[in-house]
Amino acid sequence: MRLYIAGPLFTPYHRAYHAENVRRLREAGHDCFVPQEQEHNARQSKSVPEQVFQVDLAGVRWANALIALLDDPDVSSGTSCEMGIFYEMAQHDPTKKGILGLLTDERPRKRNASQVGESLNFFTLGCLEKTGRVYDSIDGVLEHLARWQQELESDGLLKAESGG
Amino acid sequence: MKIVLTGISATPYAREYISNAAVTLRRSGHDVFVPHEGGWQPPDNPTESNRFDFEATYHALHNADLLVAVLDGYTVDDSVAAQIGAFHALARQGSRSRRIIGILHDTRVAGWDWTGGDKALAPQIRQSILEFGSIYPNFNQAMAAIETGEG
Repeated sequence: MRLYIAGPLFTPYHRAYHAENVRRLREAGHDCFVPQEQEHNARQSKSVPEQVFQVDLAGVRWANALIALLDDPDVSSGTSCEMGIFYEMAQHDPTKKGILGLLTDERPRKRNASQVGESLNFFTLGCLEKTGRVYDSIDGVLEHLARWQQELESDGLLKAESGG
Repeated sequence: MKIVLTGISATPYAREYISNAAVTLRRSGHDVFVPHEGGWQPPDNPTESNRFDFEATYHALHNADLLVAVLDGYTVDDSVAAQIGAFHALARQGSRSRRIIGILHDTRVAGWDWTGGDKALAPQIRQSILEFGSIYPNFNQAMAAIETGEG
């Protein structure tokens, strides 16, 4: 499957975590569009918002599924925007299966456990749960993707070309 | 030197970054307390869970010569900010010489390639650190400052 890898890139440990997840996803045979691997982020000091938007939007359009890292006190605004765009595209495109979330952060989990407030913003979470699920590790994401891949193959909707 | 090394502890990969940095400091002969490890000695699997204990962390701050604080986040993590505040008060009150070193990676605050430096940090945090030390863009530069006694 073609996957768009969304999530915060702001620290070396965010980027290291993405890189390890991408390694596992590629090992399982998936093609990944990874914003931190793109030219506009490789030349970070010269990045301009319009270029970042155009390049990453092309990645969102290309993907069959979006994998969203939901960590930090609040979901990254860029990730939330990408989720919204992907959700709307999926309403009209049967090759877009949905959004899978990855949440390892204990702060939203504690809010959820206390059953008050919002573990994640409800609109963002609703956008995700309408088409997918939140997992606490990449293992659950891989299992879910395997099911989606089977569905796409049986419907004849899996395209062969690679973009990431 | 007795060092408290603190930063975001809410995700396994953030804890891994801090615990790996602690390993480097310990190899250089320092005693290092990491709040998510819960003590001066690292537990088995130090990144597996957050073992934060308020009293243990507070006593460690009392006993430390140096606070090394990772300042990442859109705003500095509230737990890190509280520890900076407590340590700053200790540094002002006593006759013991204490230092604070900050490490700031977050590209939203410092810019890619640290073009913005530490200037966008909240002034309370920034001034608390600069009164007793310096802020660096990565652990390697902070480590060099610790070893040479600069900062």
